[in-house]
Amino acid sequence: MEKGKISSLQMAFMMYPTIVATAILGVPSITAKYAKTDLWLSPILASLIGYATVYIAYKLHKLYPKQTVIQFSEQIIGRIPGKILGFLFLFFYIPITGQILRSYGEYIVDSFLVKTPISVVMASMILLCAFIVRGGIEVLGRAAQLFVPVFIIPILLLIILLGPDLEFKNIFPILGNGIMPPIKGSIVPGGWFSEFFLMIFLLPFLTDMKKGMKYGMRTVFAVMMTLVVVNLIVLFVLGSTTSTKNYPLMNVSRYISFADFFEHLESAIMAVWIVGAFVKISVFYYAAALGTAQWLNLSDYRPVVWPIGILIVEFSFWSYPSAMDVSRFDIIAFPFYGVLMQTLIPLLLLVIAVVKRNRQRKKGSNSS
Amino acid sequence: MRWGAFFCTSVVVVLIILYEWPKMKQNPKKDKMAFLTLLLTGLVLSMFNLPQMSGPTQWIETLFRPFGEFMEK
Repeated sequence: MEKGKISSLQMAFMMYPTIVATAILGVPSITAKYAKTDLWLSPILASLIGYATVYIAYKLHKLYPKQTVIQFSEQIIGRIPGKILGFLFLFFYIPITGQILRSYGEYIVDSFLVKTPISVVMASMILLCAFIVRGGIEVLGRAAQLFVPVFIIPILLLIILLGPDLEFKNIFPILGNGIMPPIKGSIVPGGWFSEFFLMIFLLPFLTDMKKGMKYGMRTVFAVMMTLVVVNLIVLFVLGSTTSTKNYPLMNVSRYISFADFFEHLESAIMAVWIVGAFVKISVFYYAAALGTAQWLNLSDYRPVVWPIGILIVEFSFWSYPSAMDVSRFDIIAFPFYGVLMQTLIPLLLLVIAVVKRNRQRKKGSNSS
Repeated sequence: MRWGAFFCTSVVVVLIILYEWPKMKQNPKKDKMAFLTLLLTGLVLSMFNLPQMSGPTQWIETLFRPFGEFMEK
């Protein structure tokens, strides 16, 4: 179905923006609402979910090396339950892609293209993503490799240019209200970290499969560090007002005023951020298209790419009357839904698969 | 019913069929069926007033209501 091959480094480059792109945008303020000034601790706690998810995904991949979750769940729990579980996964990934697309569109329309209809912003993005998904995993991997440095460097630049505005005393008091607020604040980023399960759709196409785990873990660490740094910058600049901002990193970039020349850099930050969102939506879209094709046992996933694009755009409108509902879904449902679908159910699959394999081995040794 | 959205989706669907169909000549019948069924689903969905309609998102929110209440506290 997919004949392309990627390296594990390219996989890491694809996974990094998949988590970071939207996590640096709205999540710091959500975290700040619960964790107050300890918001920088939350990504560290949340990354535990990321490590666990990568471990589970890699172990499952080792048991069924050439298959994705849609295919091996049929082998683990039987044909009909496997099909049902596959449907649940698709029913998770397609609407979630829609939700990501919508939050991307809301952000662009809210901050920059105020008079553009949101459907135009979203449709043009999904058009681009459809082309890259149709191109296959190799194209996606190379695009990610090209774009991720462009995405990371501005974040580093932001730190340097913001130097004069940083108020380091905003960090105090550390753990003023005990450990509970950062733990509660880590629930929402935890949902983002569970998205590492998308690795399972990429691992079968690695040229160097043994390094999959190593690079996966490194990516989790890189994402954790990025989120900690972003949360700290936001905290140092905005202090206790962080939780009142919709897009804190955007507010922070408006503070830049360096040598009377570097000003109004938020449009540059936005342009760069779109690159990250592009990789993120493409990876989700790819997983949705490949999963659908495997679920229906098609010979190729390319024919379903365009129809799924239409479905994604429709899901991005479905039951979201306003931008408020989109961000509310991120708080009250996604962290739990994401962890359930992408960490707990795969864990269950792994346990069943390991038990099954041990039993088969025992049977084999008894008969011989 | 929103005619604008429906009309736009129909145009997009026709464009997709025109673009994709010649490339799908050798693919098995199943692929073509899946392609057309998914397009039809998209077309049917575009007839509804989606933002106001209860859908999967709301079912999920209802399913996770106890957790949601914990987060909104």
